[in-house]
Amino acid sequence: MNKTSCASTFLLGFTLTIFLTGCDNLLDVERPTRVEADALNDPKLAETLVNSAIADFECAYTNYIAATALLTDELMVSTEFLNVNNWDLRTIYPDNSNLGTAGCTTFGFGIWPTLQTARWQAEEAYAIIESFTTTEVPEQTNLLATAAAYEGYALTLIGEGFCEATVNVGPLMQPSDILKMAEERFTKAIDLAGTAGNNDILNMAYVGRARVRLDLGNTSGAAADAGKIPEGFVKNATYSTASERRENRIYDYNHRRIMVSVDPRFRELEVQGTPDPRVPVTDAGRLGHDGVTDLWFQELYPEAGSPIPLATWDEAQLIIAEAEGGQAAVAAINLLREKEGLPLFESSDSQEITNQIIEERRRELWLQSHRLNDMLRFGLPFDTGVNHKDQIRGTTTCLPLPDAERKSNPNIGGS
Amino acid sequence: MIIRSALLVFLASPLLLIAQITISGKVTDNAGNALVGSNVSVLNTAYGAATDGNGDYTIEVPMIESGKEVTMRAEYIGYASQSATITLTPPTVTQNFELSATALWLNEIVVTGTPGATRRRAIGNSVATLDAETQVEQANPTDIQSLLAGKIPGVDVQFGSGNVGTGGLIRVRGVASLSLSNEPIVYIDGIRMNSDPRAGPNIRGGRQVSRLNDLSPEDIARVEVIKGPAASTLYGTEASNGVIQIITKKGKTGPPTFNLEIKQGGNWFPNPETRLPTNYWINSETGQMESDNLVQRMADEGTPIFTTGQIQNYGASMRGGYEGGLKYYFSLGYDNEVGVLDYNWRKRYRTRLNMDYQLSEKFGVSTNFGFVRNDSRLGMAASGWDIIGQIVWGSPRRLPTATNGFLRATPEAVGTIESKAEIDRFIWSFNLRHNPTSWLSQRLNTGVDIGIEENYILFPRDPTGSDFFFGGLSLGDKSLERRRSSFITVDYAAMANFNITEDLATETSVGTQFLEKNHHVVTAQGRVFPLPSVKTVGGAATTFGGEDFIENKTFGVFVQERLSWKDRLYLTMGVRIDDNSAFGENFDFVTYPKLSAAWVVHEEPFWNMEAINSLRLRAAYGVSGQQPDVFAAVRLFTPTAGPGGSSTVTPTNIGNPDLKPERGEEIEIGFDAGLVNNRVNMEFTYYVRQTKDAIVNRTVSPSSGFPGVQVVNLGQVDGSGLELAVNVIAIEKQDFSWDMSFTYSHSENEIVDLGGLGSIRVGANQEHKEGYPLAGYFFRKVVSASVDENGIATESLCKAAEGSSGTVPCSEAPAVFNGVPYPTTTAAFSNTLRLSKNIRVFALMDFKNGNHMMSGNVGGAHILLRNSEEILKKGDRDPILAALDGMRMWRISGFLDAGFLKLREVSVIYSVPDKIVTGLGLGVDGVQLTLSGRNLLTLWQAQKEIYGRPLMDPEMRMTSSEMSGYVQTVLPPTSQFFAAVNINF
Repeated sequence: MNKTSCASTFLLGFTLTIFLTGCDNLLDVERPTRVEADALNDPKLAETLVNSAIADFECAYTNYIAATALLTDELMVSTEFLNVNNWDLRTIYPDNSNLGTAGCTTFGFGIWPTLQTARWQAEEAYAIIESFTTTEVPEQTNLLATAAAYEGYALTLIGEGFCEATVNVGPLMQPSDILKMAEERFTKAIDLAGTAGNNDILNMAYVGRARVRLDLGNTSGAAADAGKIPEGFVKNATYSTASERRENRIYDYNHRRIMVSVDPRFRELEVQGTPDPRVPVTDAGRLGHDGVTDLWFQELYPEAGSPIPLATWDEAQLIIAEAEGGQAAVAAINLLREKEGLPLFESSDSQEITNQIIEERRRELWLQSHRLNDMLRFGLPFDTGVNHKDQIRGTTTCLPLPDAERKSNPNIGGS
Repeated sequence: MIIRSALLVFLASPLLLIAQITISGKVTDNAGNALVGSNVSVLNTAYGAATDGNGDYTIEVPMIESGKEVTMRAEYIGYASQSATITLTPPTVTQNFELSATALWLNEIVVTGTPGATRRRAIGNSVATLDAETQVEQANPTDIQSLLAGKIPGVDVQFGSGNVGTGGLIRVRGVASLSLSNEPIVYIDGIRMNSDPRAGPNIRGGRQVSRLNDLSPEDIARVEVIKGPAASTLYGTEASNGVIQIITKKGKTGPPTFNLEIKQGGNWFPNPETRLPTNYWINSETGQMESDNLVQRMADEGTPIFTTGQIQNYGASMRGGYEGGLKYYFSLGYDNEVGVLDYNWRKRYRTRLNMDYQLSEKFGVSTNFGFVRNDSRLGMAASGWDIIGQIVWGSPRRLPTATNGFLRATPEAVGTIESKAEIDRFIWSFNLRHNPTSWLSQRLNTGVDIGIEENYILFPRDPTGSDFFFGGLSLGDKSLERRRSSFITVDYAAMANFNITEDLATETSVGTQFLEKNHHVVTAQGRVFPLPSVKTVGGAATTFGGEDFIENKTFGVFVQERLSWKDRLYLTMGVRIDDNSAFGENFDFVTYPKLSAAWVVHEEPFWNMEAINSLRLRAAYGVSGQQPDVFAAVRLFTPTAGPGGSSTVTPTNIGNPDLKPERGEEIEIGFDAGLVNNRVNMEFTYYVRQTKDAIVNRTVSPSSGFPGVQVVNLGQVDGSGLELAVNVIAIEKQDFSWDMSFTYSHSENEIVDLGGLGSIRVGANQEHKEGYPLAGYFFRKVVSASVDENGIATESLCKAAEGSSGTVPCSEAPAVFNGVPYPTTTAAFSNTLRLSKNIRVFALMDFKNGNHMMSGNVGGAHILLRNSEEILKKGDRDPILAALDGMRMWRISGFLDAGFLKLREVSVIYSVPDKIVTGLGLGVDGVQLTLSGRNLLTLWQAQKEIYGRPLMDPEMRMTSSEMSGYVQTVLPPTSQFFAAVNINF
């Protein structure tokens, strides 16, 4: 064979050799910015799994608050961008793609998927960690308690906010079914946190269970749990500027994007002539993103890294007030007012006390995820007619199960 | 071994060339005009030359060939090639050629879709070729997409906008994929290039910079297009939308020739004061309707919003070569284009060096190197603060405010936002040719396309510290992305030719191809700068960053067998087998077969139809694929920051281990015919296409915990269409000629199967739905309505059902099909008139129809911003608009038919007479002056307004979306004019 033929044969042979013997290796690719699911089944990653569940919850939590603040009367829209505008106009219907599919940092509010991801992450973390031994994961009980507590809160928001729901591609469930699941998770968290001696998670779970028990009408149970909370207890959802996912979304839409403003019903509130520090706002003195709406800033979260209360002694006092009523309620309200240096409340009229509890909750728990649930629970009226821009409002109250779930879930008629 | 052999041949080559036989002659047309740049070659050898400025050629053949009888062929685009047999008799042989103009080029060599260079006559599928040099000369396109637009039937360029620096989409034979890209893939000199139409910063409407337009048309010699799976089988996975091959200019044998080109021109926005709307408001104090035409008012005040932007192109090139040795092409260029907004510009610096060396009779190598720096500042910057949005949604209500009647920021403020797209790009290819024996040849194409991009959007800190216009962004905000993309191609093929009998020949080809694509992306964001002068992320108060790496690899092998009978009947069969890193772990490889036939009927002895001088029948069946997203098959989590500075992961992709490529199958039949002495050429093709295993983005039940979609092979999309091209040499005289060209294409598609999903939402009011075309518009169709004194619709009736003329109350009406966003019919008609020996006039008209648009500019004005005159008429408002308002169907109040006919290109070319050129001295061989225009006139527009609100341009499109017909705040395509001087030395 001469040199030329040799070269030809070599080239041909080389390529065929690559194909026949090395094809698999030839197509290996790197994915350094992704993690394959199997890699997470590792005891060394137990804490990471729980932190992941917390991170997903905290992102979902601030999204939920921002969106439902618009749907209710806490905030008002100051942009024409539909992703935001639809919430203020109460036109959140099942086909709303943001509601059903948007991510945590997507412009607009992906409430359903982000809460479900948070719930599933906590559930999955719990299941994976539970499969390990305490030798493999020395902090197993503590981590399980934490996962259960955050799963309970994700379920709480789903149960409080949605008209109907489901979990794990299951059948349709009513809100009360979801809230019962949340109660069960909180109970599990309480047991585990007690065993682990983790008072932070213990109190968070007690407040959470009190909250869902109140939702479910178990007032005595709610009051009992709330009564266990030590004065001054605060469990925050934390935020930071480490990444967009970690930012406080209410700050982002209000201060940075100027797409939402404080609703007039929350501007310059007073208690008997004394400015109410629980609803801090400032007048920006100009118009918002739409060039029409007066821009007011909420100052509860003045920075992208401002934490948002998740479970507090304050909330526990209001749960006690609502659960027990009467002078017990007045006392609870005044405990909170004293803390803020506000004039005290006096009444012996049960309806007036009830109304005041609603009002105190409106102010004390402003922009903390409670308003939508309160408006639904207490039958408070949503805005109707046209808005300040002559746009016609819709009819949304509780959040509909999005089409994204209904059409993809075979257990509720999807495919 | 090869390198050493090549080196020996290289070093010895001068000795081999000492004693030679000279073949020389002249190539002219029938009128005796020299055909400059004709290729003359000695068949089956490496010897050949191009004619010089006088049409003369000279070929040197080694003395060792003396006495041999050889066949020579002269070829020139637009003319029938001519062959002649000569005997190599020392010392010289003279052979002249007189070529006849023809519109049919059966013997044209094409390289796309075949393992090696092949004559068109042997290929069973349609291959479109475009003579880029002529197109550049007569129309001055500033980018590749402008070069292609309206030239090839079935190739639809959707420009999208006049935002300088961005690009459009290319659709070949319409659309066929439910969820994947419908863009063709692009090769340049045999290697794959990045042609991503969605690059650049994430401006309003998404990423819209086209990587294809990094290339300069000035360096392109020819473009070949194969249009579908029937032709693209050998390109395998990713090729089902067709393949565009760009062939850059190469050296030619002869002394060095130099070319200098200077172009000056402009981008302008004709009649903006009528194409952009007047805004209205009812003054709440007076009750009177007030109006404001922002464009007119700003112009009257001496601060026009839109200006005429200058276009400058400067290019120089040199080409030449030695017989049997080195041939070279070298170019340098600088392009500077300013858009209709003075801060919208593109600067392109480019160079190219192409070299070809025939090492020996058996070995040849070529290398093609191109570098471009493409630096753009885009005109439509950040979402919410682009200039068009500020105008169309402005209001007289805001005249007393600092916004001066604009939506939320003045043009001056908007102009401070910097949206930049920069790239340094290297494209290098290396080709090795080897003909070890008379019957065997092989070639290796390898190369890389490396692009280093920097994209950013910067809101500088307001000098006064005011956050009036941009909120928190006014304190300074920068989103920066650095992306390194590389495409690596290794493509080997070997071809063996045998004459089995005197009449029957066979060509066997085998080959293999490896393609690697990867993108390494680093992002950074900075918020709040201390001073206006600080514009780097590192200077911001808050910073975050990110990094991504995306890699994909394909490996394929193919074998092809071609049989030819008497060199007029051809049968080709082949198969390609591919594996790809994006396939699921349960799927091994994919097989793409092909079968085609071509028959040059008029060369049969029985052919006696004088009216038809040439006729070739062809038919082809082929399969190729479309690759799923690189991460789609694997269940994945993404690392992200967590509480307390912890590292966490979040679920991002549910995965599908069974994922395989989308499979495009196509049958095409057609003919090429030459009539009237081949002065009329017709090319007709009919095709039927099926997309099987169509990839569907099935929404994952969010309650599963995973967001987004699961990519599954579920669907089937059927399509069909026809293409017709007619080229006519109507008149050809010494001082006058008239050529006409007409192209027409029509395509249809239907979703046959969605795997039980029924329909998939594509975007607002758009769905993929079984039984309908891709991405159809579905909404309640209001047929009639009444309106009360407050403007409220009282009796809104909508279409009752699909295909029904009945109506029902709109509240009970179903969403019905209302059209598609892409054109289904395209046509172009061009004329070239040579008025004298020195003057040519060219004009091209471009027609599209069947496409509809949802104009957010219009719909948003009517129902959301309520600044249109019609909506403010209340009781007198159009009842249909009132009904849409009541149902809040705001996008539909901007829904319209977007068909059009445009005068796309027009030019006058003057070749300065030889005697004047000669008088210039300095070795000048030729001077050409060109005046040209682009998008000068819209001759017909299906719908110019809707409910009194104007549509700026029917070609507007948000190219960041594959299928969406929703368009808002897009700068319309600009009109352009050029004056060019081209000097040859």
